[in-house]
Amino acid sequence: MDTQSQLIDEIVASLAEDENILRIKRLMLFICHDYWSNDVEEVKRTDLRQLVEETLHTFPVLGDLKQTINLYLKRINKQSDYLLAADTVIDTIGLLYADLPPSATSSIDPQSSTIAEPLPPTTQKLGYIPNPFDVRGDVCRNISPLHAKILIFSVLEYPFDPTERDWSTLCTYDLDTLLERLFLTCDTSAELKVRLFDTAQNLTFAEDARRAAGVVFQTLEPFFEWPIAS
Amino acid sequence: MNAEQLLKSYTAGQRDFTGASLTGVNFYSTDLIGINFTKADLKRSSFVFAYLNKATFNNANLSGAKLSGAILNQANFTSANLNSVDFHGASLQRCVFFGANLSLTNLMDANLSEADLRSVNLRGAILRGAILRSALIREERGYPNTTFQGADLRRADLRGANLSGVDLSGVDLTGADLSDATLSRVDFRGANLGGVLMIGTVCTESNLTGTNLAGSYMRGANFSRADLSGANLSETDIAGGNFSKAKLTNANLSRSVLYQAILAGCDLSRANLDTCNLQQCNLVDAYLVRANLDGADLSDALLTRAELSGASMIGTTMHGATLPDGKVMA
Repeated sequence: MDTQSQLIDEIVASLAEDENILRIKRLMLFICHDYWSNDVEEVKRTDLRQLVEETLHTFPVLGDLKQTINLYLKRINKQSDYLLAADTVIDTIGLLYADLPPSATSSIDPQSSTIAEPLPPTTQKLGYIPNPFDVRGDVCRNISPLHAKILIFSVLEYPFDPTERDWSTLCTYDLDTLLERLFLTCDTSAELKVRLFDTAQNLTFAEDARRAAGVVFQTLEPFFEWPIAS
Repeated sequence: MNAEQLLKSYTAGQRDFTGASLTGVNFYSTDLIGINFTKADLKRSSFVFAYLNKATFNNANLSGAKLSGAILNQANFTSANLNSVDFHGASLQRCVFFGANLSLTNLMDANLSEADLRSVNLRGAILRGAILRSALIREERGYPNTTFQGADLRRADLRGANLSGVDLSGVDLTGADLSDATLSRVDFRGANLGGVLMIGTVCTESNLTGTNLAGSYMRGANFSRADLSGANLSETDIAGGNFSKAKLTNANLSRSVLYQAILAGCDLSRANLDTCNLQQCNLVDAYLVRANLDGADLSDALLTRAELSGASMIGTTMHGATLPDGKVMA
């Protein structure tokens, strides 16, 4: 048995004794399969070792695992109940990343000097939208500007209900301001995508809202990975 | 004819509904592409989110109708009555509104790119956040000019639009982008232009008396022969701008950047130019009687034949400037 396999066994054994094991397994299922299980028996039946291996396989980089957990946590209603489970997953499974070959991980192990230093990031999220009128123009070119407005309003405020009261409320919001607020609210492009499409599927005009989600995401995405000037 | 009968006929291939009377009907999210509603009576009808690309509404009556979120690209509204219509967030790209009545319409966040808005009544219209890029709004000989009196154009995108000869008096243009737009002979009196972007905008012969342009970014804008008497241009950036033969008497240009601007033959009498950057400016034949130039930087500026009698020049930098008598300062 190799070192990696032994370490997985140890981690599985330690996790199995954790009193929070159901939440840990549910969270791992959620991040690996984008599936939320409310069935306790199903969660209990799921093989823990297989889940750990799937997590390693799905997220070869520790940074990706952390980012995805943070992102998925925002989609859970009882976030606070799962924060401890999230920490346990990162603290235990995170240990396995140090043993992965350098090409498969970007984590830095302070104990090992053989792992190459990661390259400095070449992109970063901008702190503002540099050309807000161009962004508004791009969003409104091929879709109804009102669909974009309703979608972003629903992401930032509450799901739009096509009643007289909500129509009047919508008139108090400017599209360019909504776009800017949406961009500043999301930390990553992945978070933006999840929030836009999750909101779109629950709106009355779901098909148009999904189309708007695609356009808004495509327009704002470049500002999350803006090249850092050398 | 009712809505049901119309939809049945449309599905069967009929497109011409000239003169139809359909007041107060609901066509919510309906596909009516290419329909002809010439002279139709569509008062208070609802076309919310409808698809009406290339539809014809010439001389139709749509007063009080709801067209919010509708897709109306290339539709024709020539001489239509669109009083109080709700176009909130509608797509109106390349639409023709020639001679239409759009008074009190709600065009908030609508996309009117390349639309023809000549000879249109836009009194009291809401155009906040509207996209009017390359829109054609200029005067047309033989027809009344488009009027925007009391209209709300805050944060509107008017880049590349042509508004020559238009009446923009009293209009709120706060935060709008007028870059590369043509606004010759425009009446801006009483308009609010705070924080506007006017990069390369052409405002020749326009009337901007008493307007508020404080803090605006107007690099390379052309104000030749324009009247800017009493205008507030403090803390603006107009580097490379052209003010030849413009009237800037009593204007406030305090702390503005006019680097390399052309102010030849310009009337700057009693203007406030304190702490103004006038480096390399062309002030040939400029009239600066009783102007305040305290703390201004006139390095390498050309002041040939300029009239400076009574001008206040405490702490003014004149390094390398050519004086009215042709002498060059050390």
